[in-house]
Amino acid sequence: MSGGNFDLSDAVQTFFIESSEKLDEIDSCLLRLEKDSEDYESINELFRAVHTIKGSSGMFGFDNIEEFTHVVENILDRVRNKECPLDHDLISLLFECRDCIKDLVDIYEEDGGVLNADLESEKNNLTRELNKYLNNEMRTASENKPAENKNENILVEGESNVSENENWHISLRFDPDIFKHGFDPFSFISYLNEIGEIVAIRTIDENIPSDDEMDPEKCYLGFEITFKGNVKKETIEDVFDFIIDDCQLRIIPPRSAINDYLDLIKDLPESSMQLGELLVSIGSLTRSELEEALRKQNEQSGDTGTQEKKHIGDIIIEENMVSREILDAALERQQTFKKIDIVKKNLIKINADKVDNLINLVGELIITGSNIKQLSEKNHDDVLSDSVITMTRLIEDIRDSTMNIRMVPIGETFRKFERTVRDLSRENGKDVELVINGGDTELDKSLIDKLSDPLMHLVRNAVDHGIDTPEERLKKGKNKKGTVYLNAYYETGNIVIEIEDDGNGLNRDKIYKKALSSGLIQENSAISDSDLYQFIFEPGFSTAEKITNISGRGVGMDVVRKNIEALRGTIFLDSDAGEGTLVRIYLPLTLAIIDGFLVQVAGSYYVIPLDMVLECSEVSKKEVEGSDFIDLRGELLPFIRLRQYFNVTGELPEKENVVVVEYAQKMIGIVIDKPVGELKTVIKPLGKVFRNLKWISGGTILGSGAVALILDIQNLIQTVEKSSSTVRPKEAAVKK
Amino acid sequence: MKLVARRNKSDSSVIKYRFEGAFTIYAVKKLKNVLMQELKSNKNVEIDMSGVQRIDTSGIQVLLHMKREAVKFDRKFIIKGIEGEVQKMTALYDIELSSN
Repeated sequence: MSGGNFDLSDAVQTFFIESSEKLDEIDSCLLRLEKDSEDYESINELFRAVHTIKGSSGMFGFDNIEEFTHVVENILDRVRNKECPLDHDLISLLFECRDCIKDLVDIYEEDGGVLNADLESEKNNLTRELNKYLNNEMRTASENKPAENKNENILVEGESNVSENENWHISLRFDPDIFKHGFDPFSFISYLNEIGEIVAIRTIDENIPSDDEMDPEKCYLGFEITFKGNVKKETIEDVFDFIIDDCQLRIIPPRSAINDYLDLIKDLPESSMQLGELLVSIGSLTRSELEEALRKQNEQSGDTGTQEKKHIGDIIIEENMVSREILDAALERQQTFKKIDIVKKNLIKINADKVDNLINLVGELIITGSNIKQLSEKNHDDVLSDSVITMTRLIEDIRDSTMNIRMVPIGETFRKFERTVRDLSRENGKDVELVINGGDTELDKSLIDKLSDPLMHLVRNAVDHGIDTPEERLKKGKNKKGTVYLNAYYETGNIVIEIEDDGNGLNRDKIYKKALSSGLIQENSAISDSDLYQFIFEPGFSTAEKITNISGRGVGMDVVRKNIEALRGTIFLDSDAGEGTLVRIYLPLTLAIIDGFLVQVAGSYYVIPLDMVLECSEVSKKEVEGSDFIDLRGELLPFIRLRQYFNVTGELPEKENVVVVEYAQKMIGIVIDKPVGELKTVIKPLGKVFRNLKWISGGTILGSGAVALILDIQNLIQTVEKSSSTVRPKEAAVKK
Repeated sequence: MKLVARRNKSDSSVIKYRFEGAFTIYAVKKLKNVLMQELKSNKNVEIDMSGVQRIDTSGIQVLLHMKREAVKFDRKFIIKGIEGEVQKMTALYDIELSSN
């Protein structure tokens, strides 16, 4: 990038962002192709993704990436042209290539592109492997014509309907302004006759509008060409290289699946007449079959538009000319792509900093708003109060919409694990499927970013430890294929994420022994299964006999818990021996703003997150004195006194109040002086000095300018739990 | 190269045109307007392309368009003298212009 006058740093950043998106796409394409290697759209998408990376890396002079992606692109092009079968070995190789591209991109992002020896040799190895594929294919193609035919047959195995057409099909549509750009399609099309032979051509003129709208300087024509030539697809593409931006070029290689033709037809804007003509010209249908179909259509005389389009499709199917599945598949596919297109069109990319800044401002606005509210109440100005109420409502709306900007569906993060699961299960000779539920559950973006690592660890654990080998599974009468579920859903102001597997479950005895030997429990102490299982999260706690390269070292789960707790979340584990394991993570909806319940103890203010508050009631001195429990409608409820916890001195009020809070299905009472009311507030992090304060998660500034501390309910509950073992679980939520 | 158009009204029902030169993008706008005018004034049109030395795809497109419009107006649009460059292009595109 030296010597350029432009500041490319922004553009480079875009390149890295785009590349990581494309790499994700590559991953998901490969995963789809692994299930269905005939998925032509995925092959195309894959090709495009690699092509984009290649193009942009070339632009920035990232030669290593460009070089390598070029080789990958070549092989994909062959796959696309059905010149090279996409078998499992090749898919695995492509997965490795994808990882190598990622490493290369990372190197450029971090170290300015100096390759270390490992990466260099990996890149060279993969290039060699890829070239093997390329050379193999070349040989079969050039030396041995019949062998190639055989190859094609293998390739389309399982596809019942394969066109007998031995020719290429080229479909051309143009940018209306192509003439104005100084190009004449004629020169390009006639060049085709230099490299092969145009067997048949259809000039599509039906898109020329009627007179008033027809602008003769615009191009309305299209061409469907049957082309015969012993050439590579690239050669055909090269013919149109000059006008590639001014036209839509679609090339279908000889003997492609009829599906491909159908896809093409669906893509084209023309009506059914062309559809029929096309099927004939590409040899999918014979002329007589088409004529019969057309005759029937005329008899029924269902005219014009999309209706008509469907019509002829149906007729063709009725006559068993094309199978229903193929047509349906093509239609369905097209619809999903349309959907994705629409979603993509509605997206804009913004720098996260801008959103953070906006949220900060909104935070200040909220504080100022409540300040005004207090003033207006103090002055008893009714008119002002009315406007203040309206304003407060608007501010709340702004707050909600602003927070919404940050909300991102978690599905994308989940889908990244598909690759992890695939790799791991292959490595360990297991057969594991990842099932995602609730992928559209939205989470704060910053939460999602921080969640990725812990989740990765849990998913790996599930595959590595949870799911057993296919043989063992069959022995136990389970389905050979193991399943890992990733679920996400909302529950009382929290987001719950579950990682569940249907594997072996935890070994209670082992954990018990380990807990004993680590001194976590006493001999013969009675402990419930679920309490016992939580020891898994203790540092250095591992029962794995064999240390694999990912898990078993006993460092992991405690880190996972630490990560989750840093997000104000909690993590639980449940397991049934032989049935599977469930890890459940509770997370707050957002990190930045909370709806709080403001309470007062002597002169200090505290905020309790409102969605954890169940109820609030007065208690008499008698009830709370000298006891750790109060009687809540016949149930024992452990409680704490904030006065005590925070060493607040000051006069006791006549009557104290207890606020009942619930978090992750546990309830405690918090005794305070008096409730002040609801409060929407921005969490201000406390300074470094206070970072390790227990029981307090942050602070906020009240309208009056006073500071209120936000209570860390989750930590408080845990403290109470440790001091008394009878935290009351919420009945309704007790699972299993 | 310019396009020269000669209008020749031999009998009242058919307007005859003879084109010479370049039947290309530079002329199509005017061509279309003139020829449509003739069709709209309820005349049959016959054009002679034998003097055309150069044609491009936009020229062909106008001819295709005129033929279709003529059908709409229930007029005749006859194209004669398809030879040389014109013939080459219609052959490549596999279109029939001389038929009615």
